[in-house]
Amino acid sequence: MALTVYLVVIVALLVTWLTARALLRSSGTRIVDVEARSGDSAQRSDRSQGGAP
Amino acid sequence: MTDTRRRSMRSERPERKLGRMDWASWPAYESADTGLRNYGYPVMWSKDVNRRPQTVRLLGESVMLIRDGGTVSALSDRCPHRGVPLSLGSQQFPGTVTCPYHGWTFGLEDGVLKAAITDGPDSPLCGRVAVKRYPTEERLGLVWVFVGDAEGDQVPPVEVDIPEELLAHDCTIGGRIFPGRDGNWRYAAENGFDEGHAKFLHRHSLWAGFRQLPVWNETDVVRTDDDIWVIRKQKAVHWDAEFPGLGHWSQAAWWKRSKTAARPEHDRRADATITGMNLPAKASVRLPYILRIAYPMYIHYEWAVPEDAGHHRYIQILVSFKRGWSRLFFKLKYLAFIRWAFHGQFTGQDAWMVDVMDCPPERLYRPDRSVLEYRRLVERFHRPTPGAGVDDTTVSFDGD
Repeated sequence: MALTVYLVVIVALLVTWLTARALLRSSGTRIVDVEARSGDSAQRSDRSQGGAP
Repeated sequence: MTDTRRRSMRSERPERKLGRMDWASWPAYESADTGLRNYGYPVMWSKDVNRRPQTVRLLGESVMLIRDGGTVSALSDRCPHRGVPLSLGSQQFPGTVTCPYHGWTFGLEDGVLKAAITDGPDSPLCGRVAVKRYPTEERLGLVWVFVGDAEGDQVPPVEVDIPEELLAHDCTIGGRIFPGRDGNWRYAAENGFDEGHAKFLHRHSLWAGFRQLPVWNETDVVRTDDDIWVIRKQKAVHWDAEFPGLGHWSQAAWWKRSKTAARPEHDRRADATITGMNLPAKASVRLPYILRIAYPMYIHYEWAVPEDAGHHRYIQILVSFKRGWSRLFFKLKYLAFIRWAFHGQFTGQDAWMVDVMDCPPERLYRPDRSVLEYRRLVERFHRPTPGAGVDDTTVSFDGD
């Protein structure tokens, strides 16, 4: 009995999590971790916004 | 009615000025109804681009995106044979995309026709037909597409179009992308940097639910020394006001315990990384349209990427620079609250206004200096088309 309840809870949590994740993604929502870029590219990023490429 | 009485009535009537009937004062801005060319724009989350071709509309052009061998490529979403979208096609050979109609197959690296499957391996058209290829990069978990007329070495690195602080620090980004939002991109841009609207339009939003917003501000709107950003600097904040003949007006309420800080570092809870950036103001905007709102704990950025004259792709991200457990807490807070309250209801109110806005003609008021300065920024500093000749209203790549 206890094992059944345990399995039902686990499956319900898994289904809830997968459904929520799918709904969030379909609405364009994302969370990402980003590492800092080193080197010239990061340092020069704001030097100029305009100008002839 | 006597002439005296008529004259008297006329003098009591408010002066009826029609205001500005067009945007001819800023011809480049006025003509940019489908967007500013020669910029890199964020368009999709990196993880949403895969081997299945997809289409996005950018600055009036249809662009197909596909991932091949880990690299994202973008080609014009139109087969030159019969005009069928390549995004409806598939990948028949590595490094290519094939039109679903007659099997015309284009290389992702250069956009050149590699094979016309239904014309045999010796089709004379191979190598002689090509579709436009768009430079792409992946940064911040997003795919960036350069839309413009530059090619090869003329294309500026994507970092030029990304705020420096985003590349210089580890961070966590929570965000939402809304394709196909109604309204011209300039309405969305002007709304984003508009000084006056937030304290009235958003006064009942969940995001401002427990914070008192001012009635009105006295604000300086200036360009930074490097001419990159236009910033709003608060000179005075008025939390209540007496309107002659009408009465007192304030947003004070017992449940609104805190007031919004004019600068993130003015808040004692401010994140050290954000404070260390020495951002010139809480609200800033730069080209093509990147809005930055610095809160004490995180920074909001948004883009209104033009799709066509009547629609834009709205991209909003909230960036936290916390580490460790605080990073996990930010993620949970974003999913449980911020995504709904700020990147949902709050910016949804903006979308509502952008959708129904209809100008020019327009009759601007004092807080609209923010809008005017953004227009001037576009007019003076927009990136010109290479080879089109640089006139004195634009600056070169090096800012000289």
